[in-house]
Amino acid sequence: MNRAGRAGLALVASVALVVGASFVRSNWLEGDGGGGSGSGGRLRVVCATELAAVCERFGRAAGNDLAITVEPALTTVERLSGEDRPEGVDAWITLDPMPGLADERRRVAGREPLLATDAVAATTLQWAVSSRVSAVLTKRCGGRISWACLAENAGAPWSGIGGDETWGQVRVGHDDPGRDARGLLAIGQFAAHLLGPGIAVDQLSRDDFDDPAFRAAFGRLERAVPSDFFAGTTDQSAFEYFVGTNFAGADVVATTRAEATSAPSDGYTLVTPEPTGRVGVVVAGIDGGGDDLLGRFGDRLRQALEASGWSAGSTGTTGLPSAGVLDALAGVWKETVG
Amino acid sequence: MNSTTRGATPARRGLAVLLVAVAAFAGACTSQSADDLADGSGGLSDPGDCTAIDVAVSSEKVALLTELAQSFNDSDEADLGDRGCAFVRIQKKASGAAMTLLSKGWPDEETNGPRPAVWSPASSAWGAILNQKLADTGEAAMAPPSKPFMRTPLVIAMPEPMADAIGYPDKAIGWTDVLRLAQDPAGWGAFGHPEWGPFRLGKTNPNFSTSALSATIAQYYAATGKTGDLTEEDLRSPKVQDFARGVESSVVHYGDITMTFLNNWFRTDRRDTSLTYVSAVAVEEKSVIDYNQGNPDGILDTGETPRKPRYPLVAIYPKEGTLYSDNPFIVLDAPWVDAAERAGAAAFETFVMRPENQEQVLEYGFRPGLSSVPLGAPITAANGVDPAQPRTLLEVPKPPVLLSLLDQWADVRKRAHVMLVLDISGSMGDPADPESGATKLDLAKEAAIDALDQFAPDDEVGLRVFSTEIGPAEHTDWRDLVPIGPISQTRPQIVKQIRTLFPTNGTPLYTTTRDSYDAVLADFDPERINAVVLLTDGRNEDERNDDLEGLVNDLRSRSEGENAEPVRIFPIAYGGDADTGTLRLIAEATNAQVYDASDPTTIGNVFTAVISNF
Repeated sequence: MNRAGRAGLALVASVALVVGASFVRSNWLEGDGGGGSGSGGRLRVVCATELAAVCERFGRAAGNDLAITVEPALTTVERLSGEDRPEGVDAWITLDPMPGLADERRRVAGREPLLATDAVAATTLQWAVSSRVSAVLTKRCGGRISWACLAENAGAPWSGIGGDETWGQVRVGHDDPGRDARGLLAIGQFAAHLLGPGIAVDQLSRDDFDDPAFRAAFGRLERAVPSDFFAGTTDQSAFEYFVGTNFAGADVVATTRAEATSAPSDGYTLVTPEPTGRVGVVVAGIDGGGDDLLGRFGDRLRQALEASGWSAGSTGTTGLPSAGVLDALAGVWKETVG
Repeated sequence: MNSTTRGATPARRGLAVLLVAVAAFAGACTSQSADDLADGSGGLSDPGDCTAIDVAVSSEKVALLTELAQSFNDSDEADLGDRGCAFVRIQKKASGAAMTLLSKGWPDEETNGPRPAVWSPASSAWGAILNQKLADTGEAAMAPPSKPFMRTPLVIAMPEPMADAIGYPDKAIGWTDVLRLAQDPAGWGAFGHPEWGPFRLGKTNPNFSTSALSATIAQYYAATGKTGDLTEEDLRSPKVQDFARGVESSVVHYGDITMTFLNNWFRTDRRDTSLTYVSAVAVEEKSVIDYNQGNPDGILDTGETPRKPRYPLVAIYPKEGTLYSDNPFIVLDAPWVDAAERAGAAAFETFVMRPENQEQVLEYGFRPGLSSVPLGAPITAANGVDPAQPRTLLEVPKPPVLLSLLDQWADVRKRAHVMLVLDISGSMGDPADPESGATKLDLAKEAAIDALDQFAPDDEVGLRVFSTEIGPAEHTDWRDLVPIGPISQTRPQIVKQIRTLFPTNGTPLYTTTRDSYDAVLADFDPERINAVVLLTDGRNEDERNDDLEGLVNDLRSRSEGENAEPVRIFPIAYGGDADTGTLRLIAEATNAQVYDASDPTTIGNVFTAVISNF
């Protein structure tokens, strides 16, 4: 396929992604139907934005027995942690460890834990690297792209590191860690990689983020993230933006293998960053809502996940920092981007 | 990451719980706000139809009492029969700050939180001081005699290698040994460890902190050789004053909470530089346990993973005797406490003293107030403490003596050499107080001028302001308005200059920080606490110098080692746009503490907290 053809395909794919997501976002398959769990009634389900396409399929398959709302994971975290008894939610389909993060915030606020979770599918964290820059970047990074290498070169002019001056500066993209689970997991993987040589990922602690070398690298990385990603000027994910701009909006974006299957293209190469991060989809329930959802619609949910590129699995997220450490890192990210 | 949490059940009263204390604690180890001096009331739960029992407690027991209050509120014991039900709400309030508020009738509930029905300072001594202060102004006592519900003794915490070097525990150690160490020009070299430098003591400010109050009492007793009946005449003795002055001379800086020292110690331990940061800190036994368990402030913040320190601490129980922080449960004899609140308070006290709850007290590292609950883990040798100690207890001096002791301490404490550095960038002109219309700079000016009163006349203080393009050609980023000098002489000039300030340009934070550090270092006085107080509302806006990593590494390298001449930088992160993370790095690089004034209207209290370091 020639360059124009690839561009056309990418644009079509990106439009499809946006339209699909918008459909679900604007159509809570029904409103707040007030069902509640355990009665076989209508279940009120919140779905993380990263899983909008999954929930669209799932909602269609389950019909009127579900009232699905799609919203950013961190919005749901705030909702579920900010009240003693959050109203209007029976189950939450999201990325692990977002339910743990909500319960950690509840702990800090003196509230009891709320959510029971079951893992249902998984995928791996990936980078989508623009094919245009892939070879130069790989060479620059000594044969293997790493988070440390990305941070070291972020913002540098391509012309200075072996690339073409028309490529501009090295730009890295990830979703908004203050809003989306995938963005938070991406910077969690960054932290695990940078601090990893001295500290095992399950031993990471918030104090580790006060290392000035870490802060400096993080700052360089974040300054190289196109501001559109965080400015609220786009409702796209970083990967959607990457594809939608025909790989010109960023050079490398953090994504997942599942998301990338939605827009295969010769325009980018998938690379698995170290340490390998496996991201789980979980169903988190309140007062038995999760069990009810899985009992009645579990098969259809798993089918919808697999159709969207997720692998069936029950291990949750692995290889990445814990919920509490991710929450602390989100604070560092806010401090860094201002 | 299978953090599956199944089976959570809703609590009986909708889980209405106590937010403010724990939430306020969430960031305590990384930045200190004014909340140890004045907590706000925002976030306290609605008691519904129940009677709210507001309880002001010192910071080290907030987590414990919050948990107990939750259990109580959900229990039948909160049912007061004809009086309805009680709903206990915990708010954190440093003992000294609460005492001061109570002595003034607890003004401004919006800022300071609701007037408490119950007060539990760390020590009964604060109740005695409160009553004496009230008596001095002709008012009735407010703190009746009360029962302690848990105890923890004051100890001298020392890293194990240092305790080994001076022969503890085979040899009894006390404040006289501290004095000897402090005055020995060979420092740790006298014990075969010149690489540890001079003896350095961490001690908080006794006007705010119970461990400092107890340590100061113990020092004076050690100087007299007595264990009780300390008198004002004792305090006036030149020998006693010399002893106190000698101990204070080794203090690295003061402050309002011991957590500053413990957190800095813990952080430097990871870099293997803790032995040259401080040699010993006066803390409560509970803090030694928490530290050795890898949780120096006793609170597990979000994302904090406990890690055992490289050098565990040893609790030295001073040979001359020590005092217990006895954590009294004081139902206040205050006009705002009604009968229903008294009934609720009594029910909560009974609940706290139940054996199962006293066992919970032990789990938190305190010694139970109920004698039938035996001492056990975590109060064990494995955690650096000795359940058989202390063997000698000191008597709490009479209230007038306590007040005289605090006055005396103000005379003998280590003096300060401080540069006050104020940001006058354009954003300081932003409105900060909707009611008065005052700008951030207006509020900062007022607070800075007020704070000058907290210095002693022979403390040395100067004033520098910074913003881009305001200085001469050789340093365009800052301007010295008043050179550092005795505040008895510089105060009028500082006040005058502060009043003339107005917002100007950008924020050259990194250059100003380094230049200010260099200036104080160039004039370093080993007999004083050398420090920079840096107030800023923004982030570095200087394209000529955006090297934070270089700045932090430079400050850190010059603050470490046995020969370091420590200059502490105490930043105040002012307003919602301040770069708190960067300021924390700067503070920690110099083993100091960042202060959070993200709400500009709290700047007065924050300045008070900052100046408590001197």
